[in-house]
Amino acid sequence: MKNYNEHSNLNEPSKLLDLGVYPASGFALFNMRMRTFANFFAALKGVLLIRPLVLLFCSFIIWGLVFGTSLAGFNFLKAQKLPLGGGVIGLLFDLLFLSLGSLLVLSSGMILYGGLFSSPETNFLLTKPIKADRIFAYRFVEAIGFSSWAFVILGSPILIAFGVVADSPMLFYIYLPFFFFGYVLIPGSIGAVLCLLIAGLLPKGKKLFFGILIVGLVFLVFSGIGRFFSSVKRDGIDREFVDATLRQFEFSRWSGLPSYWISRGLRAAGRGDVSKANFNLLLIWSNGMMFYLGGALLSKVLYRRAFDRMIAFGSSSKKSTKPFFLDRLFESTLGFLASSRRALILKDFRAFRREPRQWVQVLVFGFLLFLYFGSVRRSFRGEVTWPYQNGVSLLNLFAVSLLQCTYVGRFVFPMISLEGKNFWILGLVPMPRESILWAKFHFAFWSTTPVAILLVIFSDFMLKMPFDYHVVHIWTALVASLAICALGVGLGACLPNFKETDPSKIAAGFGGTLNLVISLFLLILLVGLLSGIWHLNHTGENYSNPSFTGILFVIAGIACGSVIGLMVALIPMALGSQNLRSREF
Amino acid sequence: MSIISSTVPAIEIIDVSKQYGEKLAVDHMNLSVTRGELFAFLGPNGAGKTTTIKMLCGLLFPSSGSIKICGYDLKTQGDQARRLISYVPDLPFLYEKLTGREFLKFIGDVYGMERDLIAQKIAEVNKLFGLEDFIDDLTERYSHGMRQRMVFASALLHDPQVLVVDEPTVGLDPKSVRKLKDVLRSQADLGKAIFLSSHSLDIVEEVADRIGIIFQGRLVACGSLVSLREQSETGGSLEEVFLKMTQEKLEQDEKL
Repeated sequence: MKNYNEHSNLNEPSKLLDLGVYPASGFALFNMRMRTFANFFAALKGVLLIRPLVLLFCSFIIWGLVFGTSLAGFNFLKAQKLPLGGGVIGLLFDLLFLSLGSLLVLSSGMILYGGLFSSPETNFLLTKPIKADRIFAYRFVEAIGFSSWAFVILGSPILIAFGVVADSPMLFYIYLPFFFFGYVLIPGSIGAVLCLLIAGLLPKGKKLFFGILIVGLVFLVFSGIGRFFSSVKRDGIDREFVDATLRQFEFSRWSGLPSYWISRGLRAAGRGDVSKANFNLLLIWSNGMMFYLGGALLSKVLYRRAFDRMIAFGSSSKKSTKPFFLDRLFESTLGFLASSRRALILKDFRAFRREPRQWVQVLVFGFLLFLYFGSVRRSFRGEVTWPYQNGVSLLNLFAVSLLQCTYVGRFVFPMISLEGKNFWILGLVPMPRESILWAKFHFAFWSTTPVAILLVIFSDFMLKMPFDYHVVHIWTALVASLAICALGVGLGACLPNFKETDPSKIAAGFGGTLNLVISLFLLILLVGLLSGIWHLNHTGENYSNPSFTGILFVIAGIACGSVIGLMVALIPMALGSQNLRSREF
Repeated sequence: MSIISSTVPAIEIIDVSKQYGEKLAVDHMNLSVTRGELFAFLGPNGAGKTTTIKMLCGLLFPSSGSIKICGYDLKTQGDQARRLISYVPDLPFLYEKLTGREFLKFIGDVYGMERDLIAQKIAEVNKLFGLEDFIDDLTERYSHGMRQRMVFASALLHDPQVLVVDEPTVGLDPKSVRKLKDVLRSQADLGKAIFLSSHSLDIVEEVADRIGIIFQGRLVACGSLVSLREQSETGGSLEEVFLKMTQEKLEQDEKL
């Protein structure tokens, strides 16, 4: 530092700033972000572009896979003489956008929550004379970007495939991005409003609020499931069954839903109906902007207050003097592992259970699956018929593995990244670095597999499946669990993001999405090979032993599935270990 | 143009309490810091120093009482008050993908300064803090000392009336510490109010005009080093004064 007294201007008493004119901090934030991007891309010049190229290539592969699958699906529907502009496709689109919209509400709300209330950058910005709504806007754009990019990357190939099969005019493809970006504003803004309301008004009674919310949600879904099954009670799948099923989703066709507007608008654009497409597009954008303005106005009055309340009431002041019984239980079940590995696993388990934002979602979905398995038999007037048992038990198995897949993608994949700047602590622990990876794997495997297997057994028990089915399903769940956990941990170590502290952002980032998509395809493959062939061999009217050829196929499927599962478990773990070993901190 | 009266204290903490759930972090604190004063804030870990600083910067609001910066209430006129403050935290925040110069420009933009003025001020702080060697590098490459200097430069860019500094000397080499003390003293001499929180008692002893000791959320002593020595009936160093006063307070509380 130079001697302060050498400098004339800073030695003069301060001139008072004009406090009447407010600085254009919104533009300052925008300019800063643009500059950050420009520097990021400039830094790529002259360095090895392997990582960005691999990312681009993988994105292209994911896009292509979704496009190919969608193209095949729409072609199949066309071959079945199902009108692509008709009610069934419309309903499917309504449901697709409604479910994606609901997920966007959750994900953007959660990302915004992290951005607004627990980011060092936000702490910095809040000490500056920047209006609360501008910080909100700055964070909102980021949350929308993170939460919706997967929606755009995965949604665009489905809709482009639809356009290709339905011979849609060029107009459809031009409208597509406008519909997409307008639509994400609505669920994003709703998520933002909910995030502000919860943080600003509820931190004191947060537990009570979430308790009531979960109970209400479970009740709603449970009553919905019950209503659905009682209304579609049939002894087989026929046209009446399909009609009754479709009628149950009529709520998604309510004209007040934004998902209905985007679905209508895109189908109109697909037919070349410009006026209808324009009407729906404007409806989406005007509502999106209105919802955003609502969020911005709310942030103006609530954000700083909410921040204060989150610090004051946000974290528990409860002291943990005695070991929690779940910790002891978890530790004792892992008694066969070395104590150093157990310590690492216990650390992750404690961090996980102390973050209810994380496990509540899994708990809700797991409980819903449990309720569904418990009530599935009630959908039949008489005895459950064999084809139904055979098909539904396979779908249930898939649903359980799917839940595990989302859990691993959302919570296990970010674990290595979340070690972040403290990784040197683990790096200095006197054990090989791959032990850290294996500890994460054990945590993922032992915290999910028993639950998955119990759910599978429960589903088979409720459907009165024969014993051999139990064995095949349990083996499938076990192999799938092994592969999914190893893939999540291994890929998490191959593509870590040590700078990010928000697990939702890590999960919604490129690595997280890649992991989720690969896991999904892997799951389809493994369940297909390990159990699908078995089920295909029993598609008759009654349960009977399959033919010799059938048995050969079953054995081959199980053997292939087991080998693939094991390979998938080992390869990403080996790559992840290699990456960790060679990494400098 | 708003005129800030020179008779108004730069910082006024009026009967401020801050509650975290059941815990009272700051307990009915009253304090006033005038312009040109370097006020040092001492206290053991968990005494309420950081909470007080966060309230001074407008990050947190008092549960009761009020805080004014040059007469502007931080709760009701927060935007105006924050324009007059600069805060240098113990863990400096910088945008990793910006160069030091771009970061300073951003700070200037945030405070609504004209482009010419920003350029002029950057040149001044550049010289003052010796940033030439790294000002055009991305901040992700900075060492802790460089980061600290850059954060101080950004804090002085808009001529704040109140400078709140939290543990500024952690991780700095002796030469940088010396310069930092010069800067703080000079800023106070220019009429700015400096609110310094530190555990480095030797530095506080050397530069502070007045010292406040906070213990269990309460301001247990406040005054010049001489008056603190009198209050504690100790003629020794600030360290002895500090330990005696906090120990006495603890014993009093235990008796109660």
